[in-house]
Amino acid sequence: METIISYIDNLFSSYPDTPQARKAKEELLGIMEDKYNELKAEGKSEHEAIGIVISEFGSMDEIASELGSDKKITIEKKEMEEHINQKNITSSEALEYLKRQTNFSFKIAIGVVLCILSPVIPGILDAIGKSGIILEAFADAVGGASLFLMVAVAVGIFITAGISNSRYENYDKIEIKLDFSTRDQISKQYEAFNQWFGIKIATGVILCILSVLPPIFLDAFFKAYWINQLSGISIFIFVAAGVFLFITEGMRKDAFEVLLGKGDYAPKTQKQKKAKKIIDLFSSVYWSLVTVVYLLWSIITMKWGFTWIIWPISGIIFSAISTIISNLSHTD
Amino acid sequence: MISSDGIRGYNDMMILYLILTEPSYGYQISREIKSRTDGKYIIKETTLYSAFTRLENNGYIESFYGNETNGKRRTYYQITKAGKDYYKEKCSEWELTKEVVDQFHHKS
Repeated sequence: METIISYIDNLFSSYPDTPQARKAKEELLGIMEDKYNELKAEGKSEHEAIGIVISEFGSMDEIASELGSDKKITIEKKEMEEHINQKNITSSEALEYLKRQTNFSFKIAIGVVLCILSPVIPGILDAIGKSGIILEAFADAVGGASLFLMVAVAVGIFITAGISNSRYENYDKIEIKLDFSTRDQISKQYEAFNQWFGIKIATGVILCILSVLPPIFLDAFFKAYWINQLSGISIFIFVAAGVFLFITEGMRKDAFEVLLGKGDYAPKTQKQKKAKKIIDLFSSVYWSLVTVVYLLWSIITMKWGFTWIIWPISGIIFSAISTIISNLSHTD
Repeated sequence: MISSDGIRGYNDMMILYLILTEPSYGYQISREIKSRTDGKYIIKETTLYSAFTRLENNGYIESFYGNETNGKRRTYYQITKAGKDYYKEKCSEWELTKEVVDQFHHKS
């Protein structure tokens, strides 16, 4: 029946929302629902029933004059797409989506943590190698291998997780329609989630800040190479723990916001959409150029230790320009 | 299956006939038309709805909400006095149409 309802919603979406149109929609859906139920009772499959009901619906032209407006509103193609870009989601689909996104966020977070931690084993082995307990060349070889192995495992996780999550890839581009009770239920979950969200993100930030403390203190008191090496490694471990929190919490928040149409996923006005398109286009050109400049500058001067400064600066310039673009498109 | 163009002028007559004695609702009327014609004519939902509104605007039928069954409120249609007159008119028009068209019907 969901399919039939969204079919009718789509057909009516290009007509003005008048009392007559609502009455027509209700009456037509009533007849279609009766027909659908009877077909199901006769033993027809879901697909067959929907097929028959839709094929016997007829044409909107026939009732257009009874919809309280003489003519169909001429809608721009863009807006037509907007109507098509709505999706009705059942309660179980919504809960399934949340569950899968949580699962997906854990996989991505584990992958990222593996990448961040990949220098840890080489670092430890290097410290041991330098201290002469094991052969240094052996330590370097095993350490290097372990680094690539961890990155390879992470990439494997990204790819498989990405593929299994690909069926949801259009969720953040369309407007999700939930029925009232499902929306209410998910809003409550979202509120409960939000109570802890701030604390968890703050914990992540604190972990990242604290990551520099072990090297600072240990290096001040101890001069041994292996201690300096291990204190450096501890940065990765702290940062990995913080990043794990950012990713899992951030992605879960996104999943809630996609379903509820909040935050970045709030339905946008025509102007906002236009601004977003301009910014997207600008962004792809801008970052490609920055990358070219960075590579050229670094390769020509070979000052790799300094040229990275282009990234934070470009980031600040980018956010300034995006703000200007979205403000300009609001005011005109 | 019959073409909806050919039968267009007589949808009103079929609907009115089906509510001559007692009120009925959308799907019941649609189902009756299908079963009485052995599935040779299936009225489209939009055709039915446009006929209902037209007939109601002309004062030939009246609609009211029936009792809720299984949480569903159905619109019932009942024929008016003017509707009965209109039905008789359509019947005699059909007699005439049949007579006229029959003159050009090559019986094989």
